[in-house]
Amino acid sequence: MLEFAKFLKKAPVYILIILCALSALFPLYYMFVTAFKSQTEFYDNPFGIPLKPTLENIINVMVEKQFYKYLLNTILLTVVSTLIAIIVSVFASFAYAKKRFKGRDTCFNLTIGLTSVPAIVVLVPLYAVLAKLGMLNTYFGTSLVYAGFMLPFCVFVLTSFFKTIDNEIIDAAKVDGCSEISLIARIFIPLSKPALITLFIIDGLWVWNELLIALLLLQDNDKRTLVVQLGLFQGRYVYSPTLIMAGSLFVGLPMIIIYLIGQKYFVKGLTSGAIK
Amino acid sequence: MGANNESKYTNKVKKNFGAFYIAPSIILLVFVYVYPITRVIRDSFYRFSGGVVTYIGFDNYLHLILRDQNSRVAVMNNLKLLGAIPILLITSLVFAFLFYEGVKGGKVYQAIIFIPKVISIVVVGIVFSYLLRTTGLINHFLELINLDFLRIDWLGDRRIAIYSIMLTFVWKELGFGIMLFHARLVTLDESVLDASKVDGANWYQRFIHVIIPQLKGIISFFIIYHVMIVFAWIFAYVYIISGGGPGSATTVLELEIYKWAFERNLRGFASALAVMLIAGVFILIFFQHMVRRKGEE
Repeated sequence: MLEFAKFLKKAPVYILIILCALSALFPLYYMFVTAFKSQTEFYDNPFGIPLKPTLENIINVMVEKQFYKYLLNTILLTVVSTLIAIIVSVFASFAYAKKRFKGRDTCFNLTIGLTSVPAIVVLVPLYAVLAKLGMLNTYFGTSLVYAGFMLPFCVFVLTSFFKTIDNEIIDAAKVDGCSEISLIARIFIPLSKPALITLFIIDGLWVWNELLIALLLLQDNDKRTLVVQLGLFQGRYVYSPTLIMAGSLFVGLPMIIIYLIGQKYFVKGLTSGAIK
Repeated sequence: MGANNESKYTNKVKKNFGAFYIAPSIILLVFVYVYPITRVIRDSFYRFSGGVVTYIGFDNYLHLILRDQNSRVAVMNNLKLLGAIPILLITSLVFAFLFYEGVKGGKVYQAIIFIPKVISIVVVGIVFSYLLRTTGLINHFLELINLDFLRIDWLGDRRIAIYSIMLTFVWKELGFGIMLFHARLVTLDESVLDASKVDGANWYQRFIHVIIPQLKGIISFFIIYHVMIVFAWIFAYVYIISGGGPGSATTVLELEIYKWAFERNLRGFASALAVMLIAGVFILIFFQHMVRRKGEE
């Protein structure tokens, strides 16, 4: 009986939480079921579970509408830009955490301070600069821009992580004749694996989902990212919601799956900047 | 980090060698931020038309502030969107506290609630634009429960549309807020909370008098962070859901800058508006530093 009374007392809490979870899921449910409906079924049964599920939309989007191509573009861009950002920040963070030099704190603070510069502000002049350098519509130019935007956060996370690495290990390695570069490669990088994985995931997530920079810097049909293509797609196929939802699913699902696998990295990474 | 953290090793290293390690990052930052920012400030004093560039002093600024209806609407819309922040703050705090107090299967619910944060704004925007249209789910639901009179054209009505964008924003960000506060709550000292329980404080009292005061720091971070998003990273929502329309009813600063620069091809106006945006953001950061410093004293 006592258990039941306890349960009753907590019932409103559960109702609230279940409602919250349902409202988080519903739009995704809608996207999911619509993607598997035929056009006719969508109009007869707009919100229910598909009675005659079809893969037609998904295949159409992937093959005919060439989403496989934009998927490859997105993967390439995400990997290259994230790698640039992380490699550059590993070196910078090593110096910020373990070395003394003139202007160290100033450079560090300026780097972190740039986190909050809105993308659109720098994109207005940057677009002209990249056009002049012939780097518009190139993955190299765009990756550099993405890497620049990710850099402050990477440096912030890695510097605070590197600071926790014991100086005695460094001294011992030095005595053994270890050069600084191999010190970074053999000690710092392996020790900070969790931080590096977190950064790779958080930065990758951001590039994968980012619209504005990709929209401006990669306009060629052959270079576009998934998200940009999906935005155009939405305007072009207004009258086939099933197709648009299939496209949305194609863009959204990979991140949901990766999130469900590496959940702790996502939550830790996205909340870590604030807790510290 | 003070001197006590630096070992013999750090002292022995050649003093200026560190510059070599940070050089790539500095070059990248100059390319992406520093040079473009100086450039945007310079450009804001020029008129770019038909390939001719003329110095015109503050004319771009004066025109935008005094005569341009759209930028005024944009600022108002950014301000309206700030309304999402108290909603997000209160809802996330309450749910974070519920999870903290312990709920069966809490981990599963938390995992679900966080999903919107990992999906692209473009996907979210597209799905919501379907749910919100006149024949969309929300109106369908209102019909089902006989509230027909509440049926609204959520995206077509000039007065309502910006709030539909706000709703989408809240949906996407809520899980993050809950996780953020929950992550902070679990690091708190439990003894105070336990003591208040022994003293017979009820749920509401514990929440207001014990939990909230201990979260002050993170709450102020949460507010500043979201103010920044509303002013500086809201572009994708508006671009996808409404394109700024109907008319210019849902335009925001970022979208106006985008239109001046890349649709109307008037970079002078775009730059001036961009300078005003970044000035606003920096004032905000300065304000945050003041608050934080006060908190630390």
